[in-house]
Amino acid sequence: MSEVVQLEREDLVTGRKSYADISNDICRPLESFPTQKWLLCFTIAVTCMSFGFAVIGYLFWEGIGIWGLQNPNGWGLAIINFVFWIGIGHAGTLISAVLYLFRQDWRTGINRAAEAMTIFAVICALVFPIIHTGRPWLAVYWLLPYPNNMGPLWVNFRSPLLWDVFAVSTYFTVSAVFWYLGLIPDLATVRDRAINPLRKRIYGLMAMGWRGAARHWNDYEKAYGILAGLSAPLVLSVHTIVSFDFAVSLIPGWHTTIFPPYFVIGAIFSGFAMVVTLMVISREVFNMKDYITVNHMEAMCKIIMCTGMLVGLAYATEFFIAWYSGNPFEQYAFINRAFGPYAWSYWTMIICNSVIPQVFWIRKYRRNIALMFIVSVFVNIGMWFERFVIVVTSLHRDFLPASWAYYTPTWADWAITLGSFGLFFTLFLLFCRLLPIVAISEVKNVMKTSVMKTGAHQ
Amino acid sequence: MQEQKQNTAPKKYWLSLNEYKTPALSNAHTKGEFLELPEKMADELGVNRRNFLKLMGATTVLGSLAGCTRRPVQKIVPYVNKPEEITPGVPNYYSSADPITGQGLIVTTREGRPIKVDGNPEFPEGGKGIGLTGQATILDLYDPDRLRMPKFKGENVPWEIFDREIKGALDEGQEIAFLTRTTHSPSIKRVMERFRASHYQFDPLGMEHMHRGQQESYGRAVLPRYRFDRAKVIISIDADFLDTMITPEEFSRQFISTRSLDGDGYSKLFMFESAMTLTGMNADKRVSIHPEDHLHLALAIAKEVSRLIDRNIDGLGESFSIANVAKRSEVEEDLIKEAAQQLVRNPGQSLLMAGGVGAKTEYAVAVQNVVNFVNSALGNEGTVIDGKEMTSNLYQGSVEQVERLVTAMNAGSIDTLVVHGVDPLYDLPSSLGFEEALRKVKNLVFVGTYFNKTARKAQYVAAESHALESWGDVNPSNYLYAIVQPTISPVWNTRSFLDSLIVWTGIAGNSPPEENSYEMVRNTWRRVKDEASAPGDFEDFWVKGLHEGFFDGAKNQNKDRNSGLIKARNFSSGALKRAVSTAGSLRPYRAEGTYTLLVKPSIALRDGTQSNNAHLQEIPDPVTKMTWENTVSLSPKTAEALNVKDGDFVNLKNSNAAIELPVYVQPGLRSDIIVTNMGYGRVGGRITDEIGGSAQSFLNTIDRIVTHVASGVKITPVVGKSRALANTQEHHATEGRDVSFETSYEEYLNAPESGIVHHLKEITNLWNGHEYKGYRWGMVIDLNKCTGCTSCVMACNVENNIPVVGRDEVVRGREMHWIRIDRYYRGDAENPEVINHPMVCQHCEDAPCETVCPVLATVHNDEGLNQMVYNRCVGTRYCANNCPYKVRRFNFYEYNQPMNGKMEYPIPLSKNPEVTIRSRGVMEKCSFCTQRIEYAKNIGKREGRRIGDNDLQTACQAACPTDAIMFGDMNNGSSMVAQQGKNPRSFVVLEELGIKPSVSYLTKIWNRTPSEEHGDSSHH
Repeated sequence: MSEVVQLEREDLVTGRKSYADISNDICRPLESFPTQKWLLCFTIAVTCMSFGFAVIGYLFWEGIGIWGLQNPNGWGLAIINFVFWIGIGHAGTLISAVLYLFRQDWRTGINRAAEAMTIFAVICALVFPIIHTGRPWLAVYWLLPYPNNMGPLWVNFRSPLLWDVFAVSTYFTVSAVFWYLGLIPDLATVRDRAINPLRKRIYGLMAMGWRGAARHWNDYEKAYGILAGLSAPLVLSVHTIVSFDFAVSLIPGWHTTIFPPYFVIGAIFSGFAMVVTLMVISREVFNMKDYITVNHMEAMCKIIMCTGMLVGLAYATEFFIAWYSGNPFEQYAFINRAFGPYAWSYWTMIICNSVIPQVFWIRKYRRNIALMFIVSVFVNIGMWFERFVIVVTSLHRDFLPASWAYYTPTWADWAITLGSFGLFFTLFLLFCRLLPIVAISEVKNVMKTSVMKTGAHQ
Repeated sequence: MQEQKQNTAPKKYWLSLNEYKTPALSNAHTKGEFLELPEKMADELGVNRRNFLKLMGATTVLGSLAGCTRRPVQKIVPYVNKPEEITPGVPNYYSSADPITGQGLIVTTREGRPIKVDGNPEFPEGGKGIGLTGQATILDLYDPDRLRMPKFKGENVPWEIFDREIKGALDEGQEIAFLTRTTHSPSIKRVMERFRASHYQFDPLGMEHMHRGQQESYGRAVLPRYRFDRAKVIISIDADFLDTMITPEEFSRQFISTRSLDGDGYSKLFMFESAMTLTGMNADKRVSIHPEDHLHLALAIAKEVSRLIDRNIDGLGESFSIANVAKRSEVEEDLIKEAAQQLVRNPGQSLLMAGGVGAKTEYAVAVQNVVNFVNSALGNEGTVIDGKEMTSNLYQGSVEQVERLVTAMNAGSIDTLVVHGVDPLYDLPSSLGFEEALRKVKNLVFVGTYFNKTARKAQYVAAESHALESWGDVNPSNYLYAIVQPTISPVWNTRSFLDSLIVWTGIAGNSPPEENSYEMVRNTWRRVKDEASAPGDFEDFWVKGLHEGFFDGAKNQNKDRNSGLIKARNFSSGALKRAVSTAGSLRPYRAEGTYTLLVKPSIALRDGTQSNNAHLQEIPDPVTKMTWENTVSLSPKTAEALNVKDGDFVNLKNSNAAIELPVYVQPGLRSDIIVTNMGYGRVGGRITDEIGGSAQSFLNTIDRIVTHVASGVKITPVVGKSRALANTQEHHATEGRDVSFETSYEEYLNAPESGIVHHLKEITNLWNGHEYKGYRWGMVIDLNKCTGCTSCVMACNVENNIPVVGRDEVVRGREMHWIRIDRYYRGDAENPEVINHPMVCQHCEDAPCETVCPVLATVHNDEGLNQMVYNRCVGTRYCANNCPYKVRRFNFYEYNQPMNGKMEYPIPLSKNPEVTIRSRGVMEKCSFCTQRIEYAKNIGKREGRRIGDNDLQTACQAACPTDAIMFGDMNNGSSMVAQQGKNPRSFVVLEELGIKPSVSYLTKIWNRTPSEEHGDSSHH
């Protein structure tokens, strides 16, 4: 009988925490008065959000002429932001569902926040397809196939924009349910800890009568597994369908078959970068360093580097195919990206997405919190510019040179973009105050007990 | 009614003291409690039920009268019974004429409102082409900024008071003078005779150099009729006959007729020009020259021509040899030689032409003399040039007449000056001293449509009606007459010039010839009949004149306007000698460090008379694609040397004048030439007040010629001042893409399909495609007939209620035009070749826009139309993104209602009721004039037949002076479009996308040698 050698795994939770410590630590932000840091951040976020919504009001009043759109650039920052936020919204479900299915226990430290981020990002994204239309008061329901008395008038099932409506709404619904399901045991914990009766009542309602019975846990695990299984293909489908908005059209630079995988990878890339950005801040602000450990962060940096290189491969493939296809319009579109009037945006994208993440080859750097924060911000910027490059550089010079023009976003474009970030951070900051940002029950589950530890050494 | 009210009003009792004191209050109180019957309420008003119904009926009738119809009739009759000729929803067509150009018009009216003006296709000269200004005239009619009533000493007064006040100015004993634009109306001339007044005529785009050239060469000052249709070779020295010169639409039609591929031979156009013009863009060979060299170039050609035809001419010395002139003008020797050879090879069938207004120098008369000499020597005089029979009555004004007027004014011998149709304080070069002389004139009477510079100085401002509101007549060419017929009663309290004159003759103590303009025109028409000894009853003749729109007396005098023989005149050799001596003492224009400025009329605004017309301001210039402002065009080299780019402001200054304008870099200019447009910086309307700078001060009067070429102009860049230009095309090269195909005549003869590159052999489709059982609409655009004049764009604007978006929105790239003319340069930036390519919605069979719309707002119909459902559109703009031709236009704002959410009166009257006014947030595009299709189909249905080419024209097609646009039913084998589909020259744009457009194009064919045609690669 050969001897079983079990390698020591690093702890997923550091600081020799007890179960009680975990509950105390994670619930502390919920149960204490907001810190000045939080209040400052929240004020800034709400200001940005309010400004953005005020400009949206002005937009509804005046028309989308206040944006920089023109002929031939029918789409601009609104669609860029939509794709950007949908992309950000990818990491959450990926971390919760896919990593769960692969039994990657390190996800427990970050999954809650990542899922919350997904929901909020999708909310931000959903603002844009509605406000970007010329007549949003009609678009908001005419894009739905509802029974109506307008004769045999139905939506156009051939249009990728309609597919978007289904894909994004499905994704949002499933992600929200999945997130909420995961929250239930923790909500019960918060309820049980509550002293204030009102608080107890509210969290009690949200906990839906969770008592932690074995039957509960059994059902919970089953439901969680099923939802994870349902969500996993959605991770692929949403951005695939968003990419169809472009790939199904015939504009050079849009009409390529590489778009679905390219968009999905890009989304994961940007989603993870956003998770890192948020995690660095929240583990700092709420002192969660023992739960969101450097090991967690390092794992995410590895994924960022990997997906970053995949995105880089996609950029190269696009160029190769443009050359290989022999299609002069396609060739021009790509040469124009790299050397045309928007070359600055293209090179911003390349540097941020393909060059900067390469620092993570070195272990020391990918365990350096400050550095990974900077890199993650650059990746966010780079991925925003990727969408800018795709949308703008393809549209501004298409087939007939006579209609070519240069698109410049206006202050209103930027104000609404800022507003969407304001909305995102407002929601996220509220989340940090109101819900446990780390999944208490799951962390407890993956924590090595002293028994296990000693057992391992036996 | 008043009496009835008193009789039938019931006695009223008061209920309480309260009601007695404040009846209104208590009334309101009781009303709220019980709902009263309307009959009872009517009783209270003193109207019983029967009367109430009567009144209601009358109100409805009166309301509809006031609301939608303004019928021009001598006696206004209430609209109680439907007039025989007006059926709501059915357009009426009236013939009329443009009082300035003399062009025959067809006016479309709807419920009594004119909404569209087209050329009368039967009109003997000009045909259906009326150009941008003609197409846009309908919008002048409904311009809210027009003078609305007469003014006396700056105050608005009714006509009665105005006419009473003007008595003093027109009384006997007052010396009266008229200063007008060329007046060819026989009625106006007739009534003017009653005034014992002197009449001076002046045209802002004056042709005095041509008149004087004709006078010196042939002994009589006439404006000949040019017959480009008979010329196989045209050598033009700055004669922009396709742009603004004399009758450009007529010339376009004639010129294009010589480029027909059905006939024998193919004409050749050489253009020696100093600016970049539409004519130059259409030339087989275009050469940049300096206006100073006009005379030498003409003389060199004359010398070479006389050598080739063995005619010895004295005085044409060595300085006019080709070698010397080539050196002087930097034009290749071979080109001058070839021009001369081409002329000589086609005697009697060639034309040497000069005299465009935009490059008029003080030597223009001498140039005319040389040109006349060559044309006479080659026998073109009398075949291609008609200076005897059908001479033009347009442009009879001259600066010489103004000089005489100024002298008379300065001498104090003019008491009352009546100005009509011109704005002398703007139009005349200040060097004439008109403004100073005006102080000596006691009474200034201004008759016009805008409160312009002259009007502001006038004690009497007689608000003039628009031509579409007035009776009148025109006589644009010998023997040719047309009636100006009103199609609407005046929108404002205005009066036509003719009517004013008739009233004033009475005031001035003379008996007016007739009591009103209608009688006057009728009597003039009677004279026209007598003069031509036309047979038959006058009433028939009158009705025929109104119906056909014109009367050509030539026929009755056994003269055929179009194919008869023309008598040649004898050239007097003294004219050439004078020209040679002029050439010996030319004032040098070129000087180191200075530039020569050309003040050119633009095709859209011409002299700027219609500059308050927003649609004209927003039309892209056919050459520069500029809208809403005048710029100074610099050659790319000059711009580089001065380190300025598009939109940077520069200061232009010479000894007489200065102006600050933004730069536009124009390929095809010599580096010592700069160009700007005239007609900007006028006053008198909210639009024109704000736009552009007036370059009029650079005009000068030298030797009785208004020169449009200013020398010694220095350019100083204004540091830090720059703005984005309202240009509709930012990119000017095809980037080597096969977007438009062209070939040379020689290659065409070898292989008619030459020039076309096919990128798609066959389309494999999984589906069967659309089935078109009935009609299938399609369009063919013959690039070979298209000059790029842009008339179609204006016609489309008017027909389809296309909104004006304004300068700022054009800068943002949001112009709404449903057609655009793509203009591409290729070759050398110093002298590029140009191709114009009209682009409309291609109504693709497998339209990319249709599949991507999420709400099915753009769909295909069973007649091949790609339809836009405005009501369903939510404005995702996905369709526009996916359109490879980028012809879709989006309403980014509420463009139709910029004035506080309301269209300003009377602009709503100008709208075509058959076309929806699009609101904000909706996509729109060319509909192939679907309203016209439906209208024609209804006719077909009623008459039980399939409609054909004659039943239906799109607006652009109807406006095209050269018939470059064909539209019809592709399912009908005999239709034009079906026939042209088989034409080997036919191609579709972006064929390789496989989307099967319903619009096809026919290749452009140049009369160039194949090596010239393929000489250069594309150039930005």
